[in-house]
Amino acid sequence: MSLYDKIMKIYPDLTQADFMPFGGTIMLQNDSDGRGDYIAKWEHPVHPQPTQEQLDAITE
Amino acid sequence: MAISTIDSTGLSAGAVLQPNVGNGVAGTGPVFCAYANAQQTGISVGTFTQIALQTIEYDTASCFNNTNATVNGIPAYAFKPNVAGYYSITGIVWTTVSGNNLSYTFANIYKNGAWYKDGSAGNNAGGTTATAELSSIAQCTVYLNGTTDYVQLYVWGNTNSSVTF
Repeated sequence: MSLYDKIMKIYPDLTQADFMPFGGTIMLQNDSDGRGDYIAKWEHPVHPQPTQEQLDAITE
Repeated sequence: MAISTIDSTGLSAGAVLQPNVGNGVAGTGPVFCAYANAQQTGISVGTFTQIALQTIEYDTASCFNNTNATVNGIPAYAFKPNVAGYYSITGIVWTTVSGNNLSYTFANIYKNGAWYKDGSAGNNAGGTTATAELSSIAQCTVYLNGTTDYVQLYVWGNTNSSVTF
């Protein structure tokens, strides 16, 4: 499950617009260096950035 | 003895260095062209993903790194010129997406590891085909300081996709 999918499960009211290049408040990034996806920016006005524990708890 | 006229016949090749070039005089600074030699798969939805550019078409000053690790101080798949100035950067991505949803793809130029510019929006308006080929071009003129600044190419899509080039 991708980081995007996990965040969408934690906050089901989020939409793709929250992640889009133009106007999005959440930026996920992958530097193709083997470390995988990560949260590069979190500026959502309502939801706090999920903790690693919250993300790890999402398995499916 | 006063020297009133100096022309190129009196100069050795390479005698004039970049710092000696005045404002408004364009030099032939570092330039490169690189591209992906294989399809890059597994690009996650909604995630800015760096594009691997493994093949160098030309790299006049060895300022581009075509590997996925830092080499000679140049980050992975980055162009890090050794001459300060304004550079015109163009990146093109072509993605393959599947599904019948409206899909978008954006090429992105990153500077020093952070988002810098977005490209055009490639999309499959209508979203009625099982698969779609989307392309996006990102272009900008950016100042690079010739020492620490570098640029890289990323892609963003709103569906799971693979990058063809």
